[in-house]
Amino acid sequence: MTQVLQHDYGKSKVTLVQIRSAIKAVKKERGKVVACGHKAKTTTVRKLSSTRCKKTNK
Amino acid sequence: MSLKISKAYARQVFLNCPFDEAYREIYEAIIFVVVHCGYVLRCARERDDSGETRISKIVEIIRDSQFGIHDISRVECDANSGLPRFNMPLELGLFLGAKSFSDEPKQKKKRCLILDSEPYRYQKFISDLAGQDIKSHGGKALTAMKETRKWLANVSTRPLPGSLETERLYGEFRRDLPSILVKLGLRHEDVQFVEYVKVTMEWLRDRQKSE
Repeated sequence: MTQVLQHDYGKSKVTLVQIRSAIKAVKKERGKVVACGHKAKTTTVRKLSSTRCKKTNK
Repeated sequence: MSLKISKAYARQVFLNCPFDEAYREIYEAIIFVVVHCGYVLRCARERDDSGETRISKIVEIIRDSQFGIHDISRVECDANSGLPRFNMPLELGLFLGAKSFSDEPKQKKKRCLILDSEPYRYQKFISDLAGQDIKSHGGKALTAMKETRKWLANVSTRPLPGSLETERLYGEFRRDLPSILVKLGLRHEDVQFVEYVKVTMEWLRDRQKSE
């Protein structure tokens, strides 16, 4: 696989840490949707991660 | 005798294109394919330094980049001034000039992709380019992406990911992007060049880690 190269573009208003955690959060949400088979609402993802999906009881 | 070119020079791609809303979809697609193919994008918009003149910034980036992607499709007059913008042809001229006149041997190794929205239209407004192989994207992001990948496959000395893989990942990236931007507190139209490149790089890196 071709390696994505790193380059220092200097500062921007959003930091790399913020970008990484946003990507992780979105990935987690997608994972939840795939796991339970139902569309998760953005606001309830945190809840879903600690409890079972109410629709499928998984 | 073969000329040794530094890795940094050989991996940098200067992007010279319009950065307005009407063109956003195209330049975002180009950025994605270039980053996915393992190159680093450089652009005058990467640094916001009022103490530096724009032209010196552009000259420095052109000097540091072996490759250049130039889109000369924006020939329409500006709605406010009624005048066309000449920045893209100027920067293309600088790139071609650096290749022709520089004393540094590595500059002779410069390679560029010139894009327009319609085939052969450039002959009417920049006829000195006649004879060059100018590609048309038809104003479509996917075509611009395909042309960029084809060109990279021609000029690159390293293996590239397949075009189907790039297109599949781009579809997934575009699906994730709105949610990522919401989490970052950004409106899509407010996303700056550097922010978009960083999001693209990090998203692809994350995908590579998990695949």
